[in-house]
Amino acid sequence: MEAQPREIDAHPSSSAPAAAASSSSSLTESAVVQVMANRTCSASASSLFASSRPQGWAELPDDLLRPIVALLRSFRDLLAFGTTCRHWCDLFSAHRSSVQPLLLHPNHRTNGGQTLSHNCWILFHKCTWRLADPAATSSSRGFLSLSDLRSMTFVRYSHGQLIFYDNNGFHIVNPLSGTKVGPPSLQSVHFTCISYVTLTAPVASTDSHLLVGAGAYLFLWRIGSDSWTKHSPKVGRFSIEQNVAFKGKTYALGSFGWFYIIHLSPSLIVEKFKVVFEEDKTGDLYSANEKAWLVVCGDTLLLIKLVEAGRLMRSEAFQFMAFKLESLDTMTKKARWVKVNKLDNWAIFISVDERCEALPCMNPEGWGGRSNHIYFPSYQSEKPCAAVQLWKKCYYRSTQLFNTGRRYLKLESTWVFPARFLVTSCDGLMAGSAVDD
Amino acid sequence: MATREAGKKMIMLKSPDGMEFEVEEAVAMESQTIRKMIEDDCADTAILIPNINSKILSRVIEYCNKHVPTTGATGAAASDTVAPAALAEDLKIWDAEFIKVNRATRFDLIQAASYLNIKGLLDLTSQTTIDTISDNSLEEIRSFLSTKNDYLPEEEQTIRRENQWAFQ
Repeated sequence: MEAQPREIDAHPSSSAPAAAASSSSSLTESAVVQVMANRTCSASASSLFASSRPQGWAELPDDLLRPIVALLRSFRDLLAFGTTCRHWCDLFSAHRSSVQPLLLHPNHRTNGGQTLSHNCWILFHKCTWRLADPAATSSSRGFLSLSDLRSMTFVRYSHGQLIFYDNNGFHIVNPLSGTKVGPPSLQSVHFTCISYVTLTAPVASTDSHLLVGAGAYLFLWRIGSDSWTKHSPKVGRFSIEQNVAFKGKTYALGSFGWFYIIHLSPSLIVEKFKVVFEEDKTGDLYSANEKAWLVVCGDTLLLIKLVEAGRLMRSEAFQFMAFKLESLDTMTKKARWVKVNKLDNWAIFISVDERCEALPCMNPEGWGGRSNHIYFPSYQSEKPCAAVQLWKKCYYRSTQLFNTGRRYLKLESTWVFPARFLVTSCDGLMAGSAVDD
Repeated sequence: MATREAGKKMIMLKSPDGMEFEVEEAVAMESQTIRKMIEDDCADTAILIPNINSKILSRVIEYCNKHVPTTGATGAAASDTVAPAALAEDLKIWDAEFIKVNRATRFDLIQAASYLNIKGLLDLTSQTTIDTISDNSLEEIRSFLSTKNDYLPEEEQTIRRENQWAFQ
């Protein structure tokens, strides 16, 4: 509390009285008014920045900052706000469920205007990576280095990081900066064919591991440590395709209609369940014309399916379906999923490639998006993403929805979210921050 | 002081620096905080508004005066004859003019709007802040909002690399 009124006009200007006079014509009824309007203030940003007197915006209480964050629209502004200081980074991270991801997509057009075949590595060095904000019309150039990635096999997008594999081992690549980190080389007689690679948590969190499935074995590398550990999960035909952190556990979707809960500590234990839908049918979710993703929306674990729903002329019909985890029966070992008709106030971002995490976004109307819609890459340079309502059959003149994924080696269009904001407290950020290559 | 119609209940608001503002009850009740005080009968003589100095308080009153509903109990104002759409438009223009203040004043206004719980003013000040942040770089925001960069130099380097795509 102050005894004296503070001097609040930091920009005394001879135009102030004039401003007051002209703007007060509509407010003359109030004589207590002291019009302090100063037109020079908002006229140019530079004049504002010129003053260095501390104003204490950093000390603005969270309940005042939060509505301000919610008003930010473009990803660029969110990024600038979120990286201003640690406290604001935390605030942004806490708000991230209603922030849209960005689409990292290759620009296949060469300078000559030809469109490159999307599976041709040889010509691939000519394309550039772009980042598109679904809330904006333009996209920006990305900083992924293609010469670095050309000979590498893309294995996963997980917790904000792209994971590649080549003869030198694994590479965890930040999709926004292109910086890389890698574990020590994995040498084991049991490390034969890689079936699965993922991160168990954002690299900045203390319990983040790189998990590699190879045959009947699992290998774990704690981010930043100098060795791998080998585990035998002791479940038959163990092979996972998708994993998601939900309520403190790691849930995974496997091939041939299996569902797993993976406990990493104190020791690695895997529980196995059969995926059962309402009609009591089971089936492989990863057949040629079906893809599936696990995604967490609030306190619900969802399974999103992309299903081919017939063909019409040269278009293919497809449909996104949603189911939620209803129950896990530990006696019969069944994971029961029930149909979800509507996603309420959520939108889900699907990269079509099942190696990439599906990303949820709450209240997409805030940035001009639509609830109950699935956003997916449209593989068009001009408009890189499209949206379709859940359960709605859609005809689409592209075969790329199904001709992408595990069968191919390279990275395609992928929704990404800055890893920096995936951990609420920024304290641990240094632990896993990427080193410059 | 402005001429006031007789019969309207007046409320005395006091700022901590000793200034007194006599306002109509309806105007004061634009603030949910003050409304609560009035409804709880804590406002028989004068209400002391802590934390908000007279300059800011006068601006807040100015805002409330403009935004108090002109129809109904508070009686006939000139604007009754104006179409609601035109009135809203007029109010928008007025708001835009009102918020043309320096950042220190706006900072104080946000806090006052929050403390006094005046939703319209809080929305207006928040939106204006967003408009100023928009399209500015990290450094400009730091400098404009006087927030302190508390990242280590290595972290700052990483942030720069991560943000490079957006600020090229």
